[in-house]
Amino acid sequence: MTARLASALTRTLAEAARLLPADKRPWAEALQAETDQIPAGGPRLVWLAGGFWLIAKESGMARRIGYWVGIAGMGAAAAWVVWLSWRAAGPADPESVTDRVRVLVGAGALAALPWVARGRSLFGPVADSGVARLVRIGGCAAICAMGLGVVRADRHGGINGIIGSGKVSWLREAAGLAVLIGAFAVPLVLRARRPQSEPGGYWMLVVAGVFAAFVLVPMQAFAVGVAALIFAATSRRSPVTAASWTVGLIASLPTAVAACALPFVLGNLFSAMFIVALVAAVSGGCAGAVAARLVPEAVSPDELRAARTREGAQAGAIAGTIGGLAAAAFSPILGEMMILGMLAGLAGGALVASVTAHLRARSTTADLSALQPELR
Amino acid sequence: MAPRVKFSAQTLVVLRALVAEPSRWRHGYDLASETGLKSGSLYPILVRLADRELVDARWEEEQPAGRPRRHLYRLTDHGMAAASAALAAQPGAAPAPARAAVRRLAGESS
Repeated sequence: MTARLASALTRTLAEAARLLPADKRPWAEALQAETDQIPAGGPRLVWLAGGFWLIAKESGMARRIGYWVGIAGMGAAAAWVVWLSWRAAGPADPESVTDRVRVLVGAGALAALPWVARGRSLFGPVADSGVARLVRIGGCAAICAMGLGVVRADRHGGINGIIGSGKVSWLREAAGLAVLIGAFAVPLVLRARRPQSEPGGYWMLVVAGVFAAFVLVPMQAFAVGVAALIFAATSRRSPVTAASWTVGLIASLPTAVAACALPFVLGNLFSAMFIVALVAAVSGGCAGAVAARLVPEAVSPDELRAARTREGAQAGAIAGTIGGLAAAAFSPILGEMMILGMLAGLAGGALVASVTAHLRARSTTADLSALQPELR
Repeated sequence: MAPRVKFSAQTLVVLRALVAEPSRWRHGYDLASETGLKSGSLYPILVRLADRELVDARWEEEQPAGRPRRHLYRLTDHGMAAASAALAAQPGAAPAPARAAVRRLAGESS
């Protein structure tokens, strides 16, 4: 039975190898050429299964399927949130109309940002790391969940008067959205017209535009800013290393748990947010220390010190941002935690990593002094 | 100086097997038996290493009796240098700061 199955798989593998580009086909043939040497039965079937995995991987099929499943999943989630928003509220309620705008802006950001600047891959293809993929998918899901939270809050008449109530200024909403779109569009237009100009100037424009939009339309700016941050940090061009992602992701758990539990335990939103920021700073600091220690040795001590501080700051910021994002996805009244968590985590991570880098640099200098007599 | 290249743990296992006998041409099943890796892990690693010109790959020149020709692999000079550097940087060889210090001092004294 297994012999017949192995024979069928071998024939199928030979056919499937045609999916590979011509320069990769010899690898599938190589694997197939070894099949007869493998002990019959289970080991041979496992060997052949590895051949199918090789073909799926090298033909880019696994990546393409994952990409389109991800896109379809995000599209379905965004469409569901938009549908809920439309279905729930009465047409006379102006607040529900702005919520629809907010939800559409969030979903639009998820769809448009990977497309914007795709030539430079700024927000483009995801980095070749499982954690980066997980963070990108989880981040998009969290933004969809925030939209759902806004809609739900509006359906139940608001949360403590913060969301789902109050008067709407159409002028402010329109101006805020125009500034937000301009923040991303104007630098692209300027860059196309004046390619020799300094890119720093464009970024200053983006920062100023996003800040102005944040003052006018905080929820929309939050959603677009965080979506941009997630796409940029998880793209192939991102300087964030797999180690920083892993450490930051693990260290984000205490912040996320504290942010979800403390508002209910304490009953006071502002005290809870203060304590959550402290938790983010401490866990960001722990992440910074671990990430700094994971940096491989460098030729120059100054380079090593700078790399350790940079990695620590990245890991701390990741821990705080993911923790804050989880809190915001849990309840829209914790939306500020996205920014607060990121800043607290960044500060904690940078501070502790900097101290760790200096302490380790001093211990290396001590090593050097101890080794000098031996080398003479 | 050897190039500083980052490798996954599984790639390091393959490199360790190839470094052990650098002049010998190895085949896939031979490497899989030695490293304990499944074909689905081993072959993508070999593809990456060959793409980066760290491994040379060729088919057996003569048709052996009773079995198909095998695809054979061994490290290039560049691959040997990169693999040696990566394996030396593994924990257990020596504490990393001390090694860096020794290298710097050796460079200064020469």
